[in-house]
Amino acid sequence: MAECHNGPCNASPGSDRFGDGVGCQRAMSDEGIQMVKRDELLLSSLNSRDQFIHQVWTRHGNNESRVQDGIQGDMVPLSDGVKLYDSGSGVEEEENLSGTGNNESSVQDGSHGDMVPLSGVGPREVTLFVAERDTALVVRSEEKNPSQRMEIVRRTESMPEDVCLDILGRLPAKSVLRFMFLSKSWRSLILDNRGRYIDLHYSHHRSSTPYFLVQRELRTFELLPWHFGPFRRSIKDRVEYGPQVEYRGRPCRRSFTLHDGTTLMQTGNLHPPCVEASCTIIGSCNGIVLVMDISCGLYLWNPSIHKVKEVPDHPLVLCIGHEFRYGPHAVGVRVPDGPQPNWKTSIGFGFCQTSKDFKIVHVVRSLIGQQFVNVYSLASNSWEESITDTVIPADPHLHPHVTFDGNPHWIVQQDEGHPIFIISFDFQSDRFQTVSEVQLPPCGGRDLGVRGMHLYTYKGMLCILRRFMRNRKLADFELWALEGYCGSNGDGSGSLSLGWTRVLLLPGVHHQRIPLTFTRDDQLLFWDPCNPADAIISADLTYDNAGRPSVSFNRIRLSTVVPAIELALMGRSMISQMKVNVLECCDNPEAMMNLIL
Amino acid sequence: MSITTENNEKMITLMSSDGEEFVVEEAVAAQSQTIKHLIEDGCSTEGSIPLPNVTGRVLSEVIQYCKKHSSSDDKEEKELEAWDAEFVKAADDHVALTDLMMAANFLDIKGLLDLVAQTLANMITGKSPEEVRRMWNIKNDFTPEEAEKVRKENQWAFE
Repeated sequence: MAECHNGPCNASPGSDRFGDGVGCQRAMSDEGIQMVKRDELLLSSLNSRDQFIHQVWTRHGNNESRVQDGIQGDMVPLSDGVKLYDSGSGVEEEENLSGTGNNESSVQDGSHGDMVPLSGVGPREVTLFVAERDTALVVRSEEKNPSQRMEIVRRTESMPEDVCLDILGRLPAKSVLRFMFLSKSWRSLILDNRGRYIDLHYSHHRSSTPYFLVQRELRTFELLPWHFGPFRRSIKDRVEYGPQVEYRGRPCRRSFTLHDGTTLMQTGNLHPPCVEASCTIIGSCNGIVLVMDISCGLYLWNPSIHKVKEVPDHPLVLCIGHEFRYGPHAVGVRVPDGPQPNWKTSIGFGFCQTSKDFKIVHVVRSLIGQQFVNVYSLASNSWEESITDTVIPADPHLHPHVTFDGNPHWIVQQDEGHPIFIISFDFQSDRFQTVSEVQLPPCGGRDLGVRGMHLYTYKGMLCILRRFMRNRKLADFELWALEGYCGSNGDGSGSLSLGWTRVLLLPGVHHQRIPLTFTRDDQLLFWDPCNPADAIISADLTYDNAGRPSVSFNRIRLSTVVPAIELALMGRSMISQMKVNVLECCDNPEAMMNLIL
Repeated sequence: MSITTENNEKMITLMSSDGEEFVVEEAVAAQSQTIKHLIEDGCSTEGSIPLPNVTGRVLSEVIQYCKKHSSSDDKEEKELEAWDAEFVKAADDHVALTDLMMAANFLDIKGLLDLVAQTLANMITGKSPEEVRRMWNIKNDFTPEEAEKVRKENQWAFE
């Protein structure tokens, strides 16, 4: 019973939570004052001289009338089952009280010894603890005329779960992790309603400022907000050196903390899951990042709550043995004594809306077409084989998947000259689906074919960014949207009729600049390998009077984020290696309190 | 009890838990899904609609909100936002806000629920567990060992 007093109550409003047939409706109505037996209600308050005033009220007809006053120190006999509960006190007194509240005999005798003096309570508010009724009340008096008007206010002890969850859903991940520590019932409220909680959290935070994750070196990840302008201004004085940190028993490089006053993003210091070695981001969905380390081990990483989960070894990896694990992406891996000399691997990551489950699809394919598809589910924490015969992307390096509507999508082409398709892996049926054939009009330059095409999401649409060379130095970019496509469209039939529309043209981009991702402001970010110190460039599109587009570039100086001392320590060679391995849009990691515990 | 005013606005009477009666236009009251359903079920024809979970003080605030939001369909959103901000500010403390939230939940008024829940969330975002416990009378029932363990799991969240 004690737990119910202090945590969110399961009862919905209006239900009977008093266990004695007196429903909440009755209790909170006019007759609510009769909750105390013998039609009495004890009110205690502090007066202006900090004296306690205990008053016992009874009811006559429709009007409350005070029958007995007590001044500080005067203990007014309590009605049965009434205990004073100090709303402002610390833990110790609460412990005492809940002890008496649980104790049947002390409830019944109602002696003075059960009363606990109130302390630290504001003059306007005290709490009555009605032990046997399993609820607590705040009695408030209005300052002007305290003797005239008293009110019974239900406390949060009986706040319905829905209400608690609603509030929790609005908090940043960090606060919620702290509040799991409030009490056992709050902890189980969060853990037992994880699915609903995540949905709520996601819906409340979806539209707020998103972040993206930059992997600058092999071991360092940074989470940057989209809004570069204010971010750049504020970051200058706000970079602090963190202490030497230890991860998996090893000391890590000095990290730093970003103090961004507007959010709770004090996590410039992100622990990547495999800090000892190089790791690569394979994909991200709903704030969870799938990472692969140098030995092909997969990890699910939730940067917003600092949790990492190692994905169990893939069955094929186990059967072929450790030798299979070479290099990131395991492309073209040699399998000793295996029947095939070359294998190619593709990995897709996503989220199944139906089962609310994160899933990974892992495809291994030999050059003669042997293909093994395995699907991992986080809920079951296991791999299962799936039978499917769709052509998978030939070169995962060139064409990593893009997660759209929870499912991974790829551009595929069986061989040069063959038609180009977009395929997806549907995590509901665990099968590949053909989304659309890519039929774009000829471009105005040297066509790079499938090598010049990459999938993106832009304004909620699945798009292909086509790059073609205008001349030896400049490339043009066209963005083609797959109109009418909004995710897994059932059996995939009829999807071939979806149309391609050009939504953006970026002319004259230096040929070495690599497109990274779109920001929420629909700017395309580029990576400039020629100038690694401030490597990220945003492309702003402007139109002249004749409606011809032109691009202006703004450098986003990463060097303002990296403490200068670190750059010095890294030296020139390190700087030249420094790369934005993957610039990954993590929708908003704060929003995705996906608890991987 | 259904009364019709000169403008042919149907009026209904709401009764709070402490017996206070409020006469409001049906359109105003119907912002509460709970009341709307009660009206549809014909409860309003037999005297006042009892709202046993809401006290008069809270109910008057709720009605104030509903009136504002039913009359300002065509008004600027910004003005309404400013009004909302003032409205929660006037509620002055977390106890009053919690009451309001409970009422909004019971009466099923989505806009008000959103507004108050967000205000409460903003209020507790940066608070320590101890502060929130004090706010809502939550008893820390972890043993010292458990507390240590839970804290360790997410140490960074406490920093």
